[in-house]
Amino acid sequence: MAALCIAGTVQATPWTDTTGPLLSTGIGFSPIYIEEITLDNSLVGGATVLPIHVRTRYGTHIRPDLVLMVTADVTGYTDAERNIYASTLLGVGAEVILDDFFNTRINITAGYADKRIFGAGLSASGWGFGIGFTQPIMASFAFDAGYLFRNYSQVASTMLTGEAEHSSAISLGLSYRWQ
Amino acid sequence: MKHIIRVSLIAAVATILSGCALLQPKTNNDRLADVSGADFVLSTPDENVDLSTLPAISDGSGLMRQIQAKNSRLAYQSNGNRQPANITLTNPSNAIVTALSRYYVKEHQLRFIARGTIRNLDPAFINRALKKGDYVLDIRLTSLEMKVNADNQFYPQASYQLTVVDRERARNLISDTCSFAQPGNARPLSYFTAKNGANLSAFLQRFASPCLQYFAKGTAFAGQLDTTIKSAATPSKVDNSLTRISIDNAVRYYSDYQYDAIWLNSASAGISRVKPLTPTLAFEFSSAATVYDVNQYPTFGETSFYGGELSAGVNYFPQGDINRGYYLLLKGQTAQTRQNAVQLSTNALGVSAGAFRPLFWKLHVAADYTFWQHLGPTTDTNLQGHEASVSLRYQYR
Repeated sequence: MAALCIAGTVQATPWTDTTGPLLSTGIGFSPIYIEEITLDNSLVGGATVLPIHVRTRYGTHIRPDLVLMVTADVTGYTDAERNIYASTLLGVGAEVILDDFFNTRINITAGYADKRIFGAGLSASGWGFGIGFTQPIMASFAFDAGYLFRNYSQVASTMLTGEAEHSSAISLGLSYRWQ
Repeated sequence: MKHIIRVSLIAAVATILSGCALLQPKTNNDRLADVSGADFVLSTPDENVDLSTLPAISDGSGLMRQIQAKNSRLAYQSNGNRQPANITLTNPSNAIVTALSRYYVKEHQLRFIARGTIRNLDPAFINRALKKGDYVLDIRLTSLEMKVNADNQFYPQASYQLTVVDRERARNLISDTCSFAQPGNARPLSYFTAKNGANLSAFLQRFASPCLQYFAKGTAFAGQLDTTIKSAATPSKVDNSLTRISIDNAVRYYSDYQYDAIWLNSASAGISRVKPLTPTLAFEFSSAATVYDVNQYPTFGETSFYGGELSAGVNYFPQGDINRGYYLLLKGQTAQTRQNAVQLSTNALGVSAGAFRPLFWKLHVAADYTFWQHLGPTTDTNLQGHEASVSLRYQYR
């Protein structure tokens, strides 16, 4: 929402546009999503689930082939007790546009990671990074694929305790470019 | 006897020497020489060549000559794999004209190479190209069309295209087209088809020199269709990238796995994008999904687990042929190992080296070796693995 306010008037913009601001929203899922909790250098336990993944990025083309941006990646799922899990990575990053290579965009981002379990009142925080690519497919739509790693210095789990927690995810999605 | 031994010795040494010579890899210049000479003409050694001083395309004594069909593929490959345009005909029912037109588009792929200035193109752009030092000016017939006027008389209309090819990066940088026709000289169709199309050929030859003048100086000429002189051609990048879709079967070995070594069998499907950077080198970016099993071939059942992979690296085509070569890739992988009671860290980095060869049609076979290093906070599962794989690939542009 804040990004929308910053952007002012938004409208459908093709991914081939390599000037000015860039605002996009994407939704998809993580076919590989693994949470692991460790204690004394050993695996206590973890989970592998199939969450939805939402991504927003807002930035600007500082050159036709380079975008600087802020990103928000939110991975969410629920458990049997209807608790809602949300793992977030708020990052800053860059996107390199390979204009003579299918207009593919390769992106990297890193920043603050946060995990919350709504309903259980648990949370953890740490750092994370992501690497992936965006492939324009038609007009304002693009295919996104990427890898996200989030490392938390606490544990947010309704079942297990430990020293630290981290998650690894491969996400696939469809992004729509507003500006 | 001594004589025989001496002759044998000389023969053996000669064989070894010639063998060594054969084993030496071809340089770009060697490859270019294969398509030069009588068929394909290199530039003058001058650093600056004024295109307007080049002779007309005529009897082969000038700087430009025709490429023979047997060399055309190599010429394409050494110049960004550019393909000729399709021809169009206003009277498709006329088979003989169709055949003649195809013949002329195919045979008159006139080209030359020069280092120099092209006055009709953006000087700043040319300067940048010159600094890179290895580019080709490629001129060829790209269209030939027979037009019919109101009196049912025919006249040809054709185009020559100039393209600047950056050989170091194997891509077409800029192009300009010179189209021409003589509607006032319309004749019966038989005029153009007689003598194996000699008059059609004369028409093409007649406009070759004016088109060179146009490319060189922007000089308009009678018969040119587009009378607006282009002071600078619009740069047009041509994407010569490749896509590969592959299925892969692999086996991975960890010798230091807990009490006994462990083998993982896998099958995967992936997609790669390959961007030629030079005639012999390309960048590759790929992603894949993999299913693993510890004990047997993946069953997609309870004992199977899944992973995803992103890779980036280079391809090397020693002969400049994109259908055969070698690759070196850096891989990143995430797999559900720990959730399947496999004591290997979830994330791994790998270095892969392999080779691929054409099979038939657009299918290739590839084989590679990958060294894997698992990474994660549980250091006892950060093991090292060795993987061998065989892939079947479909490659297209």
